[in-house]
Amino acid sequence: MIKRETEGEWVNREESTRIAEKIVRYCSSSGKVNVTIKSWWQGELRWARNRVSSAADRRNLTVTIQRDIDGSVANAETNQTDEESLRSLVRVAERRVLEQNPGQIIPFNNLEEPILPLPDVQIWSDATSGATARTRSSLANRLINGSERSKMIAAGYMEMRVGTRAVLDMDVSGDNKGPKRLESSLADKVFYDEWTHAQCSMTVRHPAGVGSGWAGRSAFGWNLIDAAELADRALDKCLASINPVRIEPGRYTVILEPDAFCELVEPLMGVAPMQRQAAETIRDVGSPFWLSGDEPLQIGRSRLGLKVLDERITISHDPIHPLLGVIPEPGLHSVTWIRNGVLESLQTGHEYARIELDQLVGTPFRPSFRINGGSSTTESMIAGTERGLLVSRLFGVSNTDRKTLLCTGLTRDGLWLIENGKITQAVNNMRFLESPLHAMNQVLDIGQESPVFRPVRNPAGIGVTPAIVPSIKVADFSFTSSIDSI
Amino acid sequence: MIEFKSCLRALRSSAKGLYGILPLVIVVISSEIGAQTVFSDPKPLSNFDVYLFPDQCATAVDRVIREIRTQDRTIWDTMPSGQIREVRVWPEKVARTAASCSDRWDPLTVAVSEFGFLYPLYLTAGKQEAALKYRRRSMEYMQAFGADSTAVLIRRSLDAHARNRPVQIYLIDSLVRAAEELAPETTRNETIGPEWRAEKNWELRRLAIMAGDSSLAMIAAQRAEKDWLSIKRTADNSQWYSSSVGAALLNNAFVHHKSRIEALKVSVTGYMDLVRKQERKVVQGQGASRNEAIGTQLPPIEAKYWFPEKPVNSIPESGKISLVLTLNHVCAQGVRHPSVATCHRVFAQLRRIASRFPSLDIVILSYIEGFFQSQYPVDADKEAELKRAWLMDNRKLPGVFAIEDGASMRLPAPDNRIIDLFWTLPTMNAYTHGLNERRARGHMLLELTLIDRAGQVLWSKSSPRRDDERMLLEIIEVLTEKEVTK
Repeated sequence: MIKRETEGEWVNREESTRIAEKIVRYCSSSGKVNVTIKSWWQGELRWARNRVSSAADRRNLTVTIQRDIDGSVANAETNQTDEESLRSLVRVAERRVLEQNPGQIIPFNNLEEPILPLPDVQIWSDATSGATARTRSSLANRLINGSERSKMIAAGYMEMRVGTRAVLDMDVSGDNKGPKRLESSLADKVFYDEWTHAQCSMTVRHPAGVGSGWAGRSAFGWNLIDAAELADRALDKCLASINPVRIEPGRYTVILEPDAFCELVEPLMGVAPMQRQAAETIRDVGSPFWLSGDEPLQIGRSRLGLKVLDERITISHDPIHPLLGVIPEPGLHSVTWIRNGVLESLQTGHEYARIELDQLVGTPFRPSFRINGGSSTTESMIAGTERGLLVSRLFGVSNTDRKTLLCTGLTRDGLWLIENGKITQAVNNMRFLESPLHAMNQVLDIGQESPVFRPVRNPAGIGVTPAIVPSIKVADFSFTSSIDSI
Repeated sequence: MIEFKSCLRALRSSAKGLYGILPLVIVVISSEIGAQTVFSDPKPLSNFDVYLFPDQCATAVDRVIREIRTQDRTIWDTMPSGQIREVRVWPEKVARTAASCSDRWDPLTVAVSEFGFLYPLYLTAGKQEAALKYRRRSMEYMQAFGADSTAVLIRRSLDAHARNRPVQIYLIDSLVRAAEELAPETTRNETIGPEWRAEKNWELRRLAIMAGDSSLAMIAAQRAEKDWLSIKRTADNSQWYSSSVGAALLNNAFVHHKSRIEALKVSVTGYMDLVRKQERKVVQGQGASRNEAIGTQLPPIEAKYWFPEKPVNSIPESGKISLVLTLNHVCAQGVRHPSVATCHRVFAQLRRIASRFPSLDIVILSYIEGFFQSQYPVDADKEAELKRAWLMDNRKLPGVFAIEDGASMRLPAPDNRIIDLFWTLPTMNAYTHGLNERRARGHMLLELTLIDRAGQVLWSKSSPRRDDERMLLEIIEVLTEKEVTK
């Protein structure tokens, strides 16, 4: 097996097991111990004005332990893995436990949680984890060359990331007599998972600032990203968007390409709008799916079971979909949020499910979704449009009203006028004021679905955030002003 | 370095026109950075001569502190966890570093512009005289630029004191006095007025507690309260006003506790008059049921189940002091929920109180919910027994456990929520002072109420904290002493 140059940059399964075993040995009191070891590595390269402007290679780790002694729980965390630091880590947690709740109490067996199955997700790629600084720099060279030959200016970013997580949850026996011996390795008891994430995006602009094109893609596997195709697409869009004309703002029929549509539905596909608890408060707290308050029962009613979108829209998430994998959690299951326009599920935390629904497991929300596509192509949608706009990308989308999800933002990197079934002009960018809920109730046609650019922002964050979104044709999309910036 | 050289060769041969990348790649793979691993931080430098400016010195001191925090945990974990952050003294290594580094700057000649870095350095180094001289000089200098500049300097000084250990309280008191002398006017950078003064005094109170100066803490708290009470609600400050009233309520018990105890020693009636007067002053007519409950008579506890057995006399029993704890759903069922930590804290408090005052009548109050943990529906007898096992056997709560009769229902699909109308139950409602509505903090109220021999509410608190427990213990102590005296 060829050793990858990037190996050793993150904490692998063997190293995680060794750290966990040390911690267990240092536990001096009986009870439960939970060890969580997280690490990440990231290689990145950025270019602007056809030259590489920054390159970096970053990594970090955290070791967190939780001691549960007689029902009292305390945590401690470090980023050091030497013997003394780990020993101190255990000591700090155990001291905190003792302070919380002195006294010996018998564990309450009824509180044991059932073991929930883990979904088998696909989020690891050797192509991503094995990419080196050399890989990135040579590829950037090729991506830039095309723009340079066309006398355009390119800027872009590519990133490869690895994240790991190891969790050990076990009962330990202790007698306060110092480190104990482990009779067998804990390798089988350590739950370990690792994931990769890659992204590449590129903007090509005209040197005079009269045209701009963009393309991007993110995925867990670098091999799923065709960087050369992205460069070509960004260049083509740039050349097609040169010298735009100004048109009057107003309501237009628009064809949103998948990346633009994804940007529009982002405000909907977040934890806050999809939260069931917020939709079931007695007073409206701004949830888009709150229906009414029920004074006698002192509860709120949500729109669960009611039609909220066009019947052609189905929004779901399946963690075992080959392109929609997220970091697995016990009990994570496929969920259909909106089926044929009817609100079928809302996000419930385990806590809410236990208190309100008497269920052990809620419906967790994961930053990944799929909106089912149709059979139309973008070309056929253009051909069927008498007058409208083709939107390549939206930018700076911000929510102005939590209840209606009314959003504002700008078009960017390509906006074209469609007349009599043909693209006739590049158009100046415009500001829009529209709600994704309104747009998805004004659907004229749905195109084919495809994976979009939806990268993870925080290296220490939640791993991967894929989405599959179709292009969509919407009537009466509201633009409020034309802007000069290109 | 081999890797670096090979990378360099590869770049030179393949990336024509990409020489802009070279310095950046050097950053990534140069030996200094490359030598770092995920397991180690950069070592702090010890040659202070290389530092030319106070900010470099401050950074060096920070590095020493960080290194000690992350690697030398044995220093910290010898103290109780809650106090580690608050009262620990910088190790000698930190003070030595700060002293060596700050030696070269004379407080009477060094530029005032270095205040932000140099003042904390003097404090860390233990050079209190130098710090005082430098601050006086800087204050005099800043006064020429107006009140807002002085205010900024005061804020920075207080921030530095808040971070420094040990707390040098005599340096801080004069700072707050200087803050009070500033004119109550609105300026560009700082709003100097009652709110500003109250905040600074509240900070002083916190620092005085950390420094163990209780009399100064009391004085500072009274000053803060005076300012809070002078604030009137306006359209501009409504949010701030609410939080300041909340802070004043918190402060109220702290400030007036001593006088209340003195009044209680004389007579219960005098104590209640004082409490009513003080609480009314604080809430300014906003109405707070818990405060209004002080001095009222609560009805006898009516329950369907009693464990271990129903008392012969009704509770509260005339001539005896009673303590009643109402349990919310999470505490009564031991639901795995973040707020269960509060339950454990209150349970521990209850055990401590019971062991100190065995003659106290302690009643734990819950109600039939129709389910237990993940079991629904559950027969009322079984639910009562499960709750008894959880609270009396497992949590070893003292006193008697009363369960009021109740009922629940499940809403039809897709809602599926379980609804219990607990706020309609007379006993639960009375002993949570009418606050136990679903809309009140999501029915998570955990109310502890002290009732005197005449059946009047003397003290009540939701989810009591350690300070509340201390005050409660003093009140019970006075009451029991009065009994002995009789």
